[in-house]
Amino acid sequence: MSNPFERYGLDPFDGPAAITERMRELAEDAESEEERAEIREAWEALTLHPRRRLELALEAHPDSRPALGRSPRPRRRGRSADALGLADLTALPSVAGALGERTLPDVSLDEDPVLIDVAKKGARG
Amino acid sequence: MWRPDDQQLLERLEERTLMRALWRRMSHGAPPPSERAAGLVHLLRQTDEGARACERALDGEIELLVTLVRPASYVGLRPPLVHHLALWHHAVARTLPPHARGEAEEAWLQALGAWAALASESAYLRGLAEAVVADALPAAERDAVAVDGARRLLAELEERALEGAGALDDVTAISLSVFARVPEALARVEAPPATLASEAVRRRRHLVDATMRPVHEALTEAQARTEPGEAHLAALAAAVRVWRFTAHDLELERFVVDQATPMAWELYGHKQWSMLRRLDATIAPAVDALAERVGRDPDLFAYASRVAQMLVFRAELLTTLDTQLETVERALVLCDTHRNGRLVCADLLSERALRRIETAPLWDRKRAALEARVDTRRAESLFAGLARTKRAKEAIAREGVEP
Repeated sequence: MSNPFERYGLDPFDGPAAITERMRELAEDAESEEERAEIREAWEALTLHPRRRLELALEAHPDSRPALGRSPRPRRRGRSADALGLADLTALPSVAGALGERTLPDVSLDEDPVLIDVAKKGARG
Repeated sequence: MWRPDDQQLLERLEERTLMRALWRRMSHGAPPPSERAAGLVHLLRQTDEGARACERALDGEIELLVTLVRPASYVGLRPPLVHHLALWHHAVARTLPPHARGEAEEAWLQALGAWAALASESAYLRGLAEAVVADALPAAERDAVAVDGARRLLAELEERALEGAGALDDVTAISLSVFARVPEALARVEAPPATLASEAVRRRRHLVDATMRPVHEALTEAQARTEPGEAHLAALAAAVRVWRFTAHDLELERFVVDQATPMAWELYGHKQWSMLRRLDATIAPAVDALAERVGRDPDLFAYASRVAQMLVFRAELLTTLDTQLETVERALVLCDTHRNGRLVCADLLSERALRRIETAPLWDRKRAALEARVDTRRAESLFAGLARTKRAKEAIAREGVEP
């Protein structure tokens, strides 16, 4: 998939400014210098040379599918639903990481010292 | 609750699945194209036939969908669908391995037909071009780029083939064949760009010249020697190989005859019959093909005499009277004023007249003489005054028949 519009998920109808913005984001997320160089090359083709941009737009599949609708709303948990379990109280690893918990304990949830402590306090209270 | 938005999402997922299945079927397992290519399936699905094909494909029967993406005609198809088809087949053509020659040719031709059809959809292309580059390009250049997809494809096809042209590789064979079949692709289109067919001819010519480069070099080296020999034969054999590779290119037939004629005269002059026989055997397929063309195409009349001469050389080398006469008669059909052809034919007819009388039983000599007279009279009409004809007429007279 060498066409940059398709490779980087760009809309050919976006102007150079929007393409530049998207390519900048992609360059920031790039994991290697090589990848960044490819992005820069594609950016130059798409923004500095209108003729090339048009050729590449013609060589990209037009998006002929209707736009997707809204996803369904998540179901609200009613009061009569099952009681919360221990697993519902734990922060997801990504959340825990964001909160500063860089090193997560390498144990199952049942053996997690933090959760055991919370459970003990719950039993006493 | 199942909402319209859910249905739409389901259809999008189905179309992506079908697009990938279609790609697997047509591309011999290359990595799939952009997800936006699923728009092709979406557009096909809008017709009753397309919807049926998609249902069948979802049940595992993909062939009806394959048939729909290879339309026999692009007339009446909506421009976005034609655009998708052009890109789809172009991508398939680029991806297929060279050994899948038939499928690759079909993909290039479909892509070419679709690009050519799209070129006449000026409103669609103008709208797309304006939306993409607006005023960043002058309108004339914008329009030119937009309609030029088919030409870009032809240029790409030539470029891909040039690299392996000298080695007569599969990619070159595919390109040569596609260039030759361009009229077939353009017949699927209502109003193809006017100069596309002639551009294909020009690019094919260029490619054939590239395939012949090693032959030219070999011939130049051979011709630096004093007289025709093994090197000349090898170079002409290579030319015939290229001629076969190009699926019998007319220019190469002319080239072979042009190159072989002076060699044949030199060998004939030096009575080198064995080498002349080998020369004839080497180039015979190309000579015969050109003879057939000359016989049915008046525009090739200029080559009639040269091809006739090659057939006359062959007639003189053959070992049976019947095949000699048959061959020289072919030469005269192509060029009835050919002097050598008339002379050799007259001589062979006189020989046959003599043999008719000499080999007939005594009781049947008169009938043989009457048949021989037919030959001698034709011989005289072709080339009067030959010694052998005179001898045949005398033999006829001895049997009491007026020669």
